[in-house]
Amino acid sequence: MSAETSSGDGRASVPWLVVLACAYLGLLALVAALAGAIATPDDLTSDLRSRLLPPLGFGGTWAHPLGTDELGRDMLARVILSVRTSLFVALVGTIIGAVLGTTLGMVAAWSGGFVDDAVMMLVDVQASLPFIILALAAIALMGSGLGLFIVVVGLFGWERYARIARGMTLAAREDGYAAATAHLGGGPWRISVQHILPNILGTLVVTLTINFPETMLLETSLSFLGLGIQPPNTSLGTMLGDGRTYLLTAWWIAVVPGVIISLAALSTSLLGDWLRDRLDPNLRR
Amino acid sequence: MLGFIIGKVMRAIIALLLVVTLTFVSLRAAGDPAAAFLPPDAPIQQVDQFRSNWGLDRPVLVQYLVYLGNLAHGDFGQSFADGRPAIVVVGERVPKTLLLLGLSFVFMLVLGLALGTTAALTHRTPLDRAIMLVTVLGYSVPNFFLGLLLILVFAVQLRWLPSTGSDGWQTLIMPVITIGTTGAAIIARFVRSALLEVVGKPHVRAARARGLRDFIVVAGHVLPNAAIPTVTVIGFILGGLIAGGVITETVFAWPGIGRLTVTAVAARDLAVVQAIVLLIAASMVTANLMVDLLYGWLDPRVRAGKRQP
Repeated sequence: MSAETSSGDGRASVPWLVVLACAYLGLLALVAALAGAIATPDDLTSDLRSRLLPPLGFGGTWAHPLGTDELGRDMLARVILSVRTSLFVALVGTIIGAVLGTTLGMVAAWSGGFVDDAVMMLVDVQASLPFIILALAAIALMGSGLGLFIVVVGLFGWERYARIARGMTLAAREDGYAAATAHLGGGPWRISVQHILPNILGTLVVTLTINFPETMLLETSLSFLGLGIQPPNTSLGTMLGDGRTYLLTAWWIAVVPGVIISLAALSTSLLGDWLRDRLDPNLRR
Repeated sequence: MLGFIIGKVMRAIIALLLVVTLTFVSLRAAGDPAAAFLPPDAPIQQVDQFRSNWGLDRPVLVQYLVYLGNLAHGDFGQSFADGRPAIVVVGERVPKTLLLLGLSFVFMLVLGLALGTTAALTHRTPLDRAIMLVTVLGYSVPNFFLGLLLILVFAVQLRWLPSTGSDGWQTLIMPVITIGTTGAAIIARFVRSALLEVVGKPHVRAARARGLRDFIVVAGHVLPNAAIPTVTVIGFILGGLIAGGVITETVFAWPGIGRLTVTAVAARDLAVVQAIVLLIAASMVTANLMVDLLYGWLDPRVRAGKRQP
């Protein structure tokens, strides 16, 4: 889509920026996928003689291109492993939220009555509390094991999918194709999965691109606070949290992961905006 | 109109009751409350005392009603970190947080409105594009990183501002910017598209055709109509403000509710966490109710209209 054909409000949908954003996200995905091959936990052995070394360009050497941290661990290896953790948690979390929300929304639409009311009430409650507070309360109650933490992060955003899936299922039920399937003897399950789902997939995918960076920010925020990913695992948020203490002497410990997160969020925003304009002109906040 | 108000108030009350119920259920589901609230080496008399205080020896429904009664009396249990009532521990932090969040709200509103209006009025010019790009950047940088960057530049390098603390107006500057930036970016984009939508409407073209000056058209005919959709995001913004407060207060060691939340969660001080959750839920539900009512007052169609699907 060129700038001339962009929609009336002239959203910053410059194609080369979108290409750049895709390239960056692709690079991150590649790093995450190959993390096991290019960096091993062995690369994270501490070496107190070479602690707090600056990155290349600030007096550092090729031995540690991004410098070292407070224990003399190589920052590059740490960043690679952290990108893997953060992307993995965000991806699994986004999928959990999408599947849960969509299912609940569809079930609510088909059942009606009490079930519908109950689901919509939960949506209301969810919308009335900032999610990070709920997540913190859950961590306070149940501790922060990795599996549990992923589930907590996964609950984020389910209410959006639920709302969309419910509304669109209700609308689609009245459409000819759903009614036709029903006349041919198709049950709610068959109609939902085989006929309605493909029709609302575009909107759900757009919601997914909005949710993914927010899920990543939630994970990194909680890890930054020291309540998310726990050592020996490392996430970009954990690194930033560690780097906070060394801001005076070693700024790179905080700045390197911070820049990576910010660029990832920026890229997904640009991509999401562009996708939204292309796939679903009706879905604007 | 009265029916509309009663309906909204009922919904708010039900939402709040649901939050309280969920809190009750999850506290019970998390295991023996006596074990959770009391230190593990608590003497058996104290455990019994605790059980009878909270009515744990009675049926669940009675327990639930007692729980509601206690909350209504402001009894949220004891903080086991320092033994005082949780409501006191939380209450003494409220003024600092209100000051910080209040200023941040004003900051984001002023900056967001200014940027959004400027962008809309200079639609499709380089200035508009530049503002939009800045706003994308503004909500992409996570607030914990923005806070650290500000500290790095203004406290470590330039030494203009103190990096932590809560004494004097200087300590407010960086936290307010940190919390307000994301919201300002969202408001700016929202105001811009709301304005652009209204500018094309017939009543605005009519006002222009009557030869009214640009300022009058914008202030008298465009802004009031653009206010309607903007009001709806305020509840959403408030949630962001609270979430931002949790992070930002921790970054700048600001002694408010946000930092208390993090320390209470880390120490698993459940009474305090519970008090904070209910306090925030109550403020959010109230704020959303106000927004709904304001929305109904601004837009007559909402009052008369059906519930949206």
